[in-house]
Amino acid sequence: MKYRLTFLAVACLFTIAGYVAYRTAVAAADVRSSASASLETIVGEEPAATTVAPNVPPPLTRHHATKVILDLEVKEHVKTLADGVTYTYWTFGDDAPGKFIRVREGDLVETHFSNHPDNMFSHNVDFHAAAGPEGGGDASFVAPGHTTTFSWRAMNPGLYLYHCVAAPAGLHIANGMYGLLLVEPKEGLPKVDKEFFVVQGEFYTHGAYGERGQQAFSMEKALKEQPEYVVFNGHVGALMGENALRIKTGQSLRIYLGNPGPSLVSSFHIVGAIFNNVYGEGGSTINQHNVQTTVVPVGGAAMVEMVTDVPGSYTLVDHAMFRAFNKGAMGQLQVEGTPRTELFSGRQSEQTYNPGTHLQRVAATTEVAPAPFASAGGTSEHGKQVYSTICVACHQPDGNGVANTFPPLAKSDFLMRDKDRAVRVLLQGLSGQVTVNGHTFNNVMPKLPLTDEDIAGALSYVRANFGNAGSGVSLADVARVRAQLNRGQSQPAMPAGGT
Amino acid sequence: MLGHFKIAVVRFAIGLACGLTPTAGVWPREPPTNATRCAPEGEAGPVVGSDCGIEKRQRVMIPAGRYLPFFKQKVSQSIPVAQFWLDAAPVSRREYLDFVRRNPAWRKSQVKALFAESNYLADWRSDSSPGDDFESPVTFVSWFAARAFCADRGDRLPTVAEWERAAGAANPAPDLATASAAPFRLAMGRAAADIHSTPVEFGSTWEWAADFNSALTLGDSTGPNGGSSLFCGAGFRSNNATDYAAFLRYSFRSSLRANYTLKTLGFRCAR
Repeated sequence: MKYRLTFLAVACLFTIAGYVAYRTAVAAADVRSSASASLETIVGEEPAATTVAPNVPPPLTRHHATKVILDLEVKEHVKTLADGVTYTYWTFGDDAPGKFIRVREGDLVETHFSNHPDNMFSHNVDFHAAAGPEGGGDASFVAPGHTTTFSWRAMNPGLYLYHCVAAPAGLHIANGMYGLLLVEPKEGLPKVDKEFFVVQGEFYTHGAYGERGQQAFSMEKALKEQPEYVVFNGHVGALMGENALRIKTGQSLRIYLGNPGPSLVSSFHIVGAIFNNVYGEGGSTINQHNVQTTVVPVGGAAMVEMVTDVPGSYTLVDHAMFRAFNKGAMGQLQVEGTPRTELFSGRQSEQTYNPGTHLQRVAATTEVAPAPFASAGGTSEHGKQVYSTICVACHQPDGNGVANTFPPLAKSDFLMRDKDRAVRVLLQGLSGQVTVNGHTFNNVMPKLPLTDEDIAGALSYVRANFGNAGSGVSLADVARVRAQLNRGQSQPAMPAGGT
Repeated sequence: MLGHFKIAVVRFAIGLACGLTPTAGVWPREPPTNATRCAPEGEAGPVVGSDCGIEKRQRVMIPAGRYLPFFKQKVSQSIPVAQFWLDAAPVSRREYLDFVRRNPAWRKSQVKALFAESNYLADWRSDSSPGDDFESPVTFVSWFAARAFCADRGDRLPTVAEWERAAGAANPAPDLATASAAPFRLAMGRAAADIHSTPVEFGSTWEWAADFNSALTLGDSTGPNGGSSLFCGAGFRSNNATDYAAFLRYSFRSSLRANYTLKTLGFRCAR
């Protein structure tokens, strides 16, 4: 009897244990995507498909998993952060962000991780796409002049960051150690006409934004999470002017977005465009349609797809606007094609608006300006630096401004007709309606924290470039206009019109 | 299994290094030198005898003090560091040339592969020609070689505790860099506040420590996952999560093996 009870108890326990194991397996199958439940056979071997920013390797057409050989080399070297500003970058490959890596779901990624002999520091790599301790951080950790090798299976389709995670990880990331890796689903992603990638990152420099020369890392600003620079693809202007992303109207576009931070969540937006499809957080499924701004979390990614029917220049921004205007988080998407006025007319008419009252004018400031530098400041060369770090945000690299929003400086009658007026605009700002080259603008240009040297330089630069040919502006000119303003003898800073 | 094998190899190598004796060798006649083996000096003064044929070796006395290990132990407390003498500057190429002249086993062409990687003294043109700048710190030297050099002089490598007492933990850098053009150099050390009256050079190279690979007490830093506390968990485990210079230094040390020879890694001796 006693044995019989024991037998029953044991049998009962086995039954319970078996059921628990069964439930666990079912739950795992529910969580795990069915595609990654079994390992595909590895067939062959090939180098990883990689490209430098902003380009993306073409879709993979393989119908089998393979062994992908990926070479990653870390370099510590001085690169240009903004015009006239250099920084010691730590990079995967030659630049930040590192190359875009495209592998297929199921691939075995054999990673050869090299730390250049000239480097000072030890580094590693954490692939967010690799499911295992530290994403390979410990497996790859290596001293200068050495190479480590480790392999991992790309089991889960989606868009992933890779970055250095050696202590202090924030510093390694803030110095530029990041990139994007796409695990393409077995069945491929929907076909599009164009693909680009954009990675947002921050730089914490001792000097303020635009301060020239070699800049050191600021520990204090990093701990406060207050970067001087927030940039797309590693550098101010990496996606501006000649480097703009270019497509044609009607083409479908996919942009792969990454945000290594290390601190700021990105509110990614393209001014004038709508994301038709969003793969939220870089996952493998389109989870939203017709999105104006998509969040890219720190340490995360997103994919957006869109078709643009109206030609023109579209601006990529982190919609936290001070980052875009003042810290560099800006890029351009140039769309070529024939206008579609039935979709977007452009300006159709304009007339006087006079509701019969007027707003009281803001009193001109009387604060004392900083003394001009004794050096040979105010030169056109100095002005180019000022322009390319401050003015460019609105007036654009080519000086053409943005239609209906920011007036052009290129071949500008408003700029060239009255030198003193131009000085006043920089000293006081400008708001209200002006007419430039026959087009009216009604916007606000803020009073900027410029020295007399900056003002003389910037005006001399723009008056001699962008198709303009006029005399320079001297420090004496600026001082004279500033004195007039302080005595209250000048004309209003807000002209009623440009003509 | 592999881990145990590696440890055995390292122990074997250490044993060999300890038992190494210089063997006679034919030495090229250049550069001319009248060097003789320096007599060990007492602790009476900081200067090695001037009849050594190589330049005087300046030492500084580091007073007894305490060192707070950067990574927390089970009980977080500082440990005492006895008074010791430390070279005021890293070992120069000139000094190292004198060493290999008298110890052929450590010449570029004769060093055992077990004790140094293939790029040992990589920037030397030959066994007897350490490049143009004789006074700059010797680098591309392994821990085994550095240890043998110090032993030859009657000295030893400083421990991590001693090194940090003199150059790191006693004076945590408030920031990694000033606006100077040498970013992150402070991670390579800065003289502690209580020895600043004597000029002590730090910051031109990383430096070997006797127990470089034992800074972390969690597991074997050479084994799988043993170094993981250096990554995301590092801030939590450190005694000062804002001392980025120390993180870089400890991180660097933990990536080393005793036979590594790196461009930016030299050493100095202690006694």
